[in-house]
Formats: sequence, C-alpha cells, structure tokens
Amino acid sequence: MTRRSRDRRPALQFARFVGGRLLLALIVLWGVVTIVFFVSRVLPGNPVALLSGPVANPRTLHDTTIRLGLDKGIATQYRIYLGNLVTGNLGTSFTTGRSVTSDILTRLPATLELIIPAFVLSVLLSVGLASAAAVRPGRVVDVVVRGWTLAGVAIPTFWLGLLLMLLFWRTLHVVPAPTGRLGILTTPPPSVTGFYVIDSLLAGDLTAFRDAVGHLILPVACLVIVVSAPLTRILRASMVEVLGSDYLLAARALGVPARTRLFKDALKNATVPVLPVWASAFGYLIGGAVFVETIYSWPGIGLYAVTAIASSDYPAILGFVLVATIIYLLAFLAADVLTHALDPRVRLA
Amino acid sequence: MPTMRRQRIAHAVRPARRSPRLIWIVIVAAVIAAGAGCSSSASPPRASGGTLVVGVSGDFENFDPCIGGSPRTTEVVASTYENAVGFKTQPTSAGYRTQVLDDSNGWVPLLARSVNISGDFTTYTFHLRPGVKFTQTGDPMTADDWIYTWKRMLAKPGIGFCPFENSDASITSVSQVKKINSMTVQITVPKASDRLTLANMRLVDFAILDSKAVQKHSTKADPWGSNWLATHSAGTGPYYIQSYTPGSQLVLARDPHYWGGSRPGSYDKIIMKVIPDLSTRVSLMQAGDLDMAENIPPRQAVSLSKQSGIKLVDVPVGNRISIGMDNTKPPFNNMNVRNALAYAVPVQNIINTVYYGKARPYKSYVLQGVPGYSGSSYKPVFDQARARQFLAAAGDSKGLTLTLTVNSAFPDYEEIATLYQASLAAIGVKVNIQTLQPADFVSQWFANKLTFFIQDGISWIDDPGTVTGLWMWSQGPSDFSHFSNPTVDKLYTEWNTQPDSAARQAAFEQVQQIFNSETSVAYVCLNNFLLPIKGSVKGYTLYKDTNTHFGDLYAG
Repeated sequence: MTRRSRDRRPALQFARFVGGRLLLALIVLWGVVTIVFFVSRVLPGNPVALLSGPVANPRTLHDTTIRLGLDKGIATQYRIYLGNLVTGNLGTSFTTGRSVTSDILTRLPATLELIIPAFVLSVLLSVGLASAAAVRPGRVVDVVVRGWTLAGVAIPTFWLGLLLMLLFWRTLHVVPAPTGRLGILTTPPPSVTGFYVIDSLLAGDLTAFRDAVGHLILPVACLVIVVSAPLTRILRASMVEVLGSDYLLAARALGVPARTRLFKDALKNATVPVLPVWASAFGYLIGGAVFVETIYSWPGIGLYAVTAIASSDYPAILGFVLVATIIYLLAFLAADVLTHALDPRVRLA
Repeated sequence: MPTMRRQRIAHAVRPARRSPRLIWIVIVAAVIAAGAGCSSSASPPRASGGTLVVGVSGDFENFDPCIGGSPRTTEVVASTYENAVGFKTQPTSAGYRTQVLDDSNGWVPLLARSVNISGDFTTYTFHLRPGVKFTQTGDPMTADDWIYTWKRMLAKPGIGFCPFENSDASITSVSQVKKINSMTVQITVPKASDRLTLANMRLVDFAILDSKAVQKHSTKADPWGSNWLATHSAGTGPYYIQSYTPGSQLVLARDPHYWGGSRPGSYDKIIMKVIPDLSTRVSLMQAGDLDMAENIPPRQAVSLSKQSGIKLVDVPVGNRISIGMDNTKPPFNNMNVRNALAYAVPVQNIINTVYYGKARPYKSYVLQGVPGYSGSSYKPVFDQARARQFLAAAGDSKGLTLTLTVNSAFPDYEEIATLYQASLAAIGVKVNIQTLQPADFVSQWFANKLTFFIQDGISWIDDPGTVTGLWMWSQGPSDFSHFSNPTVDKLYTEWNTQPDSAARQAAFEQVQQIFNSETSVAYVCLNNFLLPIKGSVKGYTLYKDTNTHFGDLYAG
C-alpha cells in the first residue's frame, strides 16, 4: 500500500460514515413524515368545515374539499404528498393560501437567527459554569451554580420572558420594545441570507444592524437561561467524574498546570458524553422557542406551527415537522462527527 | 403623529447603564445593548401624513376578497378594495360613527355613482363613478372590470364565500350581470329582494377587481389569479399593500391618486404589526408604541382606557352569545329542562364579572330596535327557584349530569362556563366543562355534533328575514340547536324575499314568538365591541362585521 492511499483512507472512511448517516436520516425522515401524515388526519378538527364557515352550503363544502385535495382517498393523498415532497413542493397552506415551502423559508431564518446565538451562548455559559463548579465540588461556587441551574430548569419560559421584558424594557429601558426582529418603523434590510443581523451589515445599514441586535437580546437571553441550565448540570456531573479519574491525578502528580488539566484534558473528555445532549438542546430550541416567539412577537416557524395546528392546516403542520426533523438529524450528525473528532476511540461505523 | 411616541421610543432604547459585574448573560446582554444603541430612535422620520401603528393578534390569512379570513385580514381587504355600494353610517354621541342598526336599506353609492332600481325590485342599473382608477395599474375602472369580477365570483369550482354571498343576493349566473355600456352595468334578479341584493353587495366579497392586473397574474393552473390575489391587492381603495412580511407585519400605503382624495390628517401609512401575546400587546399600548390594539379582552381594555391619552371605542354590537342545546336529543328535547337551564343563566353576574359591564342582555336573535323585533315571548330571567321548579317538572331529570362544550379560543366563554357551572350546581345539575381547541370546536359545531355548548354569532345584515334564515329556519346554516317548526319554515319561505312591509314584520314577529316560547336556546348577552385607541386617532367608524376601515381614520 502506497503512502498516498493510506492517507486517503480516513477521508474515505469519513465520507462513508457521513453518507451512511445521511441515508439513515432519509429513512427516519420518511418514517416521521408518514406517521405525522396519518396521525394529523385522524386528529379532531376538520379543515373543510373551518375554511367554509358556518354559512357554507353542501356545494361550497364539496368545492372546498376538492380544492384542498381531500376528496381523494388517504392513500392517494399520501402518494401525491410524497411525490411532491421529492420535488421540494410541500403543498399549499390551507389558511394562508401560499406555498408551505415559501411560508417556511420566510420564517426559518427568523428562528435560526434566534436559536443559533442562543445555542452558542448556552454552550459557552454551561462550559464556564460547569468548569467553575466542578473544580471544587460542594464549595460556594458549586452551590451557587447548582442553585442557578435548578432555577433555570424550574422557571417556566413564558413567565421568564415576561419578567425579562417588564424589567429590561418597561422598567430599566435598556432594550427596545418587543416588536419582533426590528422596531416598528425600521425598514428591514434587503434579503440576502434572511438573517437581519448579517443582511443589514451587507447592506451597510448600521441602524438596522443595531436595531436587529437590540431586538435579539431579550429573547436570546431568555432561551439561554432556560437551555443552559440543564446543559450545565449534565456537564458539571461529567466534569466532576472526569476530574476524579486516575489519569488526571497522574497528570497532577507529574506537575501538569491546573489550567491545562482542566481545559485540555478534563473538558475534552467530559464533553464527549454531553455532545448528544447538545444536539438535543439545539433540536429542542426549534420547537421550544415558540413561547419566546409568542411573547416577543418573533415571526418564526414555531409560531407558524402553533397557528397551523389550531386550524388543522395539514400541509403546514407537515412542513414544520419536516424542517424540525431535518434540523434534529443534522444536529445529531454534527454531534457524531464531533464525538469522533474528540475521541478517536469512537469508531466510524 | 403625536410626538409622545417618538419620545417614548427614543427613551426605551437608551444605552445600558447596568453594572457589568453580573452573570455572563447580563454582560453579554449589556454589551450588545450598548452596541445596539438608540436603534429605533434612528428610524426614518415619519411622512407628513403620519403613520398609524396597529397591534394585531395573529398573522394574516388570504387577501382574496372572496376568501379573507380573520377580522384583521378583512380590514386589509376593506381598506384596499371598494364595492358598488357601501355601508350607511351614523355618528354617535361618543364621537365615533357606527353602521346604522337597521341596514336592510342602509347602503350608499360608492363605485356606482347612482343606482336605479326598477319598481318591481328586480332590475338594478349601476351608473359607474367616473374618474376611479385602480391602484395597481392606474387604469380607469370600467364595466369590463365589473363583468370580470362577477365572472370570477361565480366561477366553477367556487372561490371562497363568493358563490354563497351571491346566491344570498339572488345572483347565481353571470348572465344576470350585463354591460350596457362602458360606464353602465345592469343586474337582474328573478324576484324582488331589495334588502338582500344591495345589502349583500356591501360585503367585502363583492369588491370590484382590477381585471387587467388579475388576468396578468393568472395562469392555466390558476385561471382566476387566486395565488396572486392571496398576497396582493387589486382594488380602488384608499390604501394598497405596500409590503407584507409573513408572520411579522403588513404595511398599507395611501394611494396618492385615490379618487376620493384625502382629508387633512389622513394617514400615509398603516403598519399592522403582529403581536400574538396579549400581555405584550397591552404593554406596547401602555408604552405608546401602538396607536390601536386589537383583540383586547374587557378587563385589560377597561384598564387601558384609564390611562391618559388612550380612549376606548365601546360599541354595543350584535354578537349574540347563547347557550346552544340540541332540541332533538335528551334531555334537551324536554322543554322543562331547557327552561331550567335558561333560568339558571346568571346573566347580570356574567355581564358584571366577565364583561365589566360592557355587555347587555337580550331576548331574541332579531335585535331590539330592528323593525320586526319581538322578544316578549322569551320569559327566562335568572331565577334559580324557578329553574328548580322546571327541573322538578321535567320528572326524570333528577341528578342531571351534563357536558358543556366551550371553544378555547375565547377565554371569556370559559369564564361564562365556570359561572354557569356554579349556578347549575346550586340547582342540582352537575356540569362538566369540555374545552376544545378552536379547530376541533368549530368543526364539531359546524357539523351539528354539539349538544350543549356556548356559541356566538353576528348577522352582517340585521334584517329579520336574514336572521331567521340563519338561526330559526330548520335548514338555516346556524340552526345548531336543531330547532324545527313547520310554521316558522313556511313564514320564512313566504316572506324572506318580500319587500319590507307591516305584514312582513308581523310574520317575523310570529316566527320569534314561536322560537322563543319554546326556549330553543338560552340567551346570555350581547357583548360590546371594545377597541383601545390613542386619543389622537379620529374618525373611527365601526361596521357590523367589527372591522375597521382605515380610510375613515385621520390624526386629529
């Protein structure tokens, strides 16, 4: 075997691993879509009656049924849905009358702009707090951190959201009014990425940039408090275990500096079992952000999904589930890849 | 626009002065806040006519006049389109205007400069208003646009509510709508129905469309341009949809070439901001960021109106809240049981506790004041002793246990259910409250599957015939109590499309006497329409469909 081919092997192995996971993801996606398709149709709530109104005569009801494609058998509807799905067509929303794909694509950047910084800050905060607490278990810092995480887990999101709003907006006046992604009178930047923070910079519109960042503060803070709490608890437990292990005692005996031991040796090993939890947290944020989206008038997909459920809007419900599933699957794929990078003992299979 | 809000916004985004020695998140928040600076204060200054900011409780549905959706969506349609005829309104002592109560003939010419009605009420000749231009294309409105509008409304398969509304107006075929010349259109109906043809034509479904703009956006798969109309406007109204960010906000801009011109203080822009959370909507109104907040329950609305600079549009409207009972199913097929349940409704307590006095009792689906009203045969008032007597007379109803179904979309109805439950418990009737999600409730309600429930309804046309056709006629679309009486059906069929007369009014008085003497439903109350608005907003006019037409408003 030549040197070059040996070098190529890990790359091939990695590509095979990612390919396998993506194939598995497709199967999971199909399964989820199938289950939700059938379950949503047996749940109470008839979209034809809702859309036609109480004054509809049988003719109108019949026309509405045909317009929504609900006159066909459920198996035929399922076949048509899957066929359209392959071409990226998620159908037409019953309530907005617009394509679900375009409805979701308009709202997804708003949710991602909210949850990506919330996730990154939650992870950073949990690493900092867990490290500080795990170094000296049972001491003041640990007790404070544990108290904080307990509160973070116990506080209902909607209550926290309102509290932060009243405190920082109404009382202290340090953040702008909760009017969504921008102030009421601010013109949104031309859409390039859909992320207002980035698009406003690209357009050189610093006013819109500052406004967009200002509007992110409270909803992101609310999500960070809620999400970082369980992450900190789990990472702290993992760190305490790792810090007590033989190899770190040996490192200490050999005179390895405390900072190196903590951040290079302990943290790396303690993070491996926590990675799937991070992936779950990211997935949770997609659906869990709905309370925050409601309180802060944030036009994301969580709010869209809630409205769709209330009106039995099948295509919109399915579209949301599809997007949420894809994001979950990608988050877990990323966690798997990171696990391998951090711990070579984990085989790519 | 008032300067108060500008000052408030600037104040609200003052840079942070908090101590950075807090937990990480506060550091991050404060740093970003400092960076964010005075974001809104740097917003572009308002145009001279001003901007009206309205907080709405949810996203918009479909702007196609035939489809529409929630009241907020209908408000957009009503401000961007116009009809052949409009609503007649009258001033109130409180400083705003309302639609006249008896509006069977309550119409005024709008896109028709005048309407000639034949002596037998079967031929309507519309003389089109000259100089009207469509916002989209700038093209003048002609008879061709009217003909196209009716072709679309009567297309097969039907689009939204248009076929039903046209059928109610006795227009079922395009052949009934004729172009006489480019500025004259004639509509013929098979039999006299003066109160229905023109009264229906005021509704948003009958908006006259810009035929060229719609045809330009029509395709083979979408021959009537429905996809385009779902998100755009193609009318002659004072406003047009300037931008729409789904889930976030909609901006209406005033058409500078509007045929009706503008008055001093007319708003240049209307921003409808989606604020789904009630607490946030109330807070924004309190802080002065909103000029008008929709869907505010009575308690918060009354509380807001006590704040300086905010007034409350408080109008008695005909939203009929009642306890529905399936008259065909036991125990509700027993009139004694229905009477017992009606005598146990704590009407005044509900008005005081749930609606803060912003509601009134009623005794007939035809509202008091409408010619042909008769509420004298509805006897129940809140009297638990009488309720017990009726229960005893019902015989086998001892230890009655009932399930009362409520729509979760209306927190006030859940409160009514709780008060009613306590009242019924006092007379020995156990009630389980079943709260259903809106989609579930509405589909069961429309499918006539509910047996004991809290319902409501508004008739956009307060004619006794129309009201009978909705609630009391055995084939009525809103006869959710399954009331059926051959005399009522006969009177309805005979008199509904007859021109107004004393004999017609007497016929419908008889209908109500029959319906009410059987206690077919238990009337609860008519709750007022409440809308907190800034004191500087003038010209508010409330229409029966509880919609605001933004063209009426101006800054005073």
